Amino acid sequence: MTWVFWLSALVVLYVYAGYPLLAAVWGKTRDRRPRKRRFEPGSWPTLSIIVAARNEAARLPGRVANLLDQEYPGPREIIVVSDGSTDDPARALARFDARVRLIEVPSGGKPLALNAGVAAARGDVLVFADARQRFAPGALIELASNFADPQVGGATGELILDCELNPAAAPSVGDGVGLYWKYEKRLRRAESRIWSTMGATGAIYALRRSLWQPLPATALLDDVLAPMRAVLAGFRVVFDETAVAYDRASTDAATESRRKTRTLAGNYQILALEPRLLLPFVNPVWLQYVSHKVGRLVVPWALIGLLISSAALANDGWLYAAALVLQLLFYGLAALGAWLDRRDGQRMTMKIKFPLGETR
Amino acid sequence: MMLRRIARVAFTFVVMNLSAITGLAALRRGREVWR
Repeated sequence: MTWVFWLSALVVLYVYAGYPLLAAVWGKTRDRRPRKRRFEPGSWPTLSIIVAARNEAARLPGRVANLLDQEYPGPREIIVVSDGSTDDPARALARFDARVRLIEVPSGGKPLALNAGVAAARGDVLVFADARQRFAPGALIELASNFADPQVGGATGELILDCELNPAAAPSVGDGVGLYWKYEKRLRRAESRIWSTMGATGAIYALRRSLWQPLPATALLDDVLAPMRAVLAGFRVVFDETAVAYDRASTDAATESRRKTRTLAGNYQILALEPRLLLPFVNPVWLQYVSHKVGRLVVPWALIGLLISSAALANDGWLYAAALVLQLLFYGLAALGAWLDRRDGQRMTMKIKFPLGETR
Repeated sequence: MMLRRIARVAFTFVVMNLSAITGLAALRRGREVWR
């Protein structure tokens, strides 16, 4: 049981403290930021902006206007793929010019909708966006400028959540999510400087069209699978904090739990879809991938192992007893957090002002 | 105030880790978790 305790403690500490520290130091000592620059006039890549949407007719006009309002010196096209929508997206998009195309496909899920959008795309660089979020001014120029570096295969922007802008107004779970998201972005920044991030943010990322491979219909995380395939092909995916999108955090624990379940199920699934990620001589960011993505899958089991082994060893020494008390305190606090979430969820109505207007 | 914040962060951490287990279970059962 002693080895279970120490192994579990080591895994939790390494994934949440040791690796982020290692990445921060590594990123500082071997800072390889991309050679990002503005293209010469007339040589900006053509952008194909793809928005996959299902029953988002109410949001689409605002979203498309936001994409058309973006300053960008090169050509762009916007492809909205309606995934079996029944709310008449054609009518919602009727007022836009020929730069906006609507493709209607039978309901098959987001991966197939994205495949259809990419198949219709003519641009050199694909930009992926969702209907709900908004891009901040200049986001397209910033994203595209990264592709001046031939080693860059993809670029992901920074998604800012409402609870980061206004933590006091966020509901209970939003507070924790905001803090977690900040931690996650710090890690991405370090990984980007080392070589590449371990995926992208679905709300704002761009990829060279030549690197796109059609997604399987059941893929859960297009924004990890597609970028990681680019990394396996020898390119890097960089995190660019100057390309910004805004979104809302989950407003209750149940929504956040569903979102995280999907994300973590997706991380398991990617290992089955791309087992090459686990091979150190094939995956150029193997250590980072295993420490970051695989680590997050291992930690829950390590937490269970730590709790059980601490309880079993509590009478064998003060250290194990102290570890048990600390864990019980922590889970007690989490229970308090759950109670706060339930209480706040019942009585709180969120009114958060967005920097770029409401998104829903 | 500080205690409330720590409690919220602890709760998010637990939700996150529970999700890794429910995510695996959902995948094993073949349940649709992407819609």
